Amino acid sequence: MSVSDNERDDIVLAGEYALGLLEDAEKGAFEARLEREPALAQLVAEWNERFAAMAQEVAPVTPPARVREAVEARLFGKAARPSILDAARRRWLLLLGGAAVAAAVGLVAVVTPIFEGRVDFVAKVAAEDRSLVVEASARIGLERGELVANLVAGAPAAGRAFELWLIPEGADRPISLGLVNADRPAHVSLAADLAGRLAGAMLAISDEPPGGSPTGQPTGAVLATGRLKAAG
Amino acid sequence: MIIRVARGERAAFDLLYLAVSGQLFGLCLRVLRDRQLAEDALQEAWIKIWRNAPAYERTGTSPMAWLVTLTRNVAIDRLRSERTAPTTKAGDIGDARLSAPDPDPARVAEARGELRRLADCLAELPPDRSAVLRGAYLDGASYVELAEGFSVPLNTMRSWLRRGLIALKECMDR
Repeated sequence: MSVSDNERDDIVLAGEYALGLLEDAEKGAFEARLEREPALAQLVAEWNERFAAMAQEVAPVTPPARVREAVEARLFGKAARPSILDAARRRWLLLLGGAAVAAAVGLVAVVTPIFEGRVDFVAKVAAEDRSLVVEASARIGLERGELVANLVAGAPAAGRAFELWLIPEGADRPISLGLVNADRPAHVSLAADLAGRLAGAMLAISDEPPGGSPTGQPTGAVLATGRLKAAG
Repeated sequence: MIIRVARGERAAFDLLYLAVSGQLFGLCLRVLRDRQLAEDALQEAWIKIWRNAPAYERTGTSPMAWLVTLTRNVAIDRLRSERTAPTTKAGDIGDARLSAPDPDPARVAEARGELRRLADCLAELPPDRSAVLRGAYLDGASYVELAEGFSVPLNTMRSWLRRGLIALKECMDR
């Protein structure tokens, strides 16, 4: 046997704790040990990691917009702005967001203009393994803005489509910019209010039914994201 | 890369929400089997994700595992308080609990890495043992509930589950 009985007991106990199977007294004693035994905490972390894979067997379901509205109302309020946030929270949220998204979709942002003539913003939206690459550029006119997105690598799964989303900074939800396919670049005309919010906005590609998301919000997996940057 | 991903916390939140909310909501629905309860749990989970984000580093898990664990625990807490509340239909939950586990075959087939290994290792266990582990994780079942559900004595259930844990760890460590 490669592990001692004590180690084995702790492995099991950590698993039971992670599952929430310990009774109150056992749980209290275990939590007291967790405080002073980093090795035990590590065992719990390992179980959480394993069990998290079990959770990912469950198919994703897009939640209704009201959930997000409620969360944002509670977190940010109507008028409250990020000044109330402390630096540590901000830093960890960024780390978590970046790492989770990188794990899920990969992200590369590169400056690659594809317009003829003047370009104000560019983005390269790519999956980490380069199986999906979309290059986008945008310019802002007096009345409207225009965005062009080119699918340069990748194709949707059979019977599926790629839908492009814009998420302006501080937006309360993604805005559909329509489908992107390999036949020709997608041209999107942007109303002035939207064109004014392109700086720093995210672009994302999601996997959708052939005609695009039926709900107006992404329903499938987010396959790639990238940020619009000022063209150099 | 992280700096490039998001310059503002709102943008990071937007992105994180977009990337993982579907997965977390699917989990809430699976645990609670009730849309309204699942929406409430998801909302609570996001509030906690935001508030606990500074503590993430100390947990030693991957970001997705941290998000999933936090959401699962919120959903399980909600499930248990619903079960003990006198007005709820505890019987329904009990019936649903031990029905067949419902991994999405397509997702598992496409899966890579940890999820693939977990699916393979659960498949190596006797069917009862993997159902017990799923019941404990996804249904928040206690030892007593598991023993009743599988019609075995409590001590038998404890030993099943403990042996299942050891077998799962050994398989996944290989």
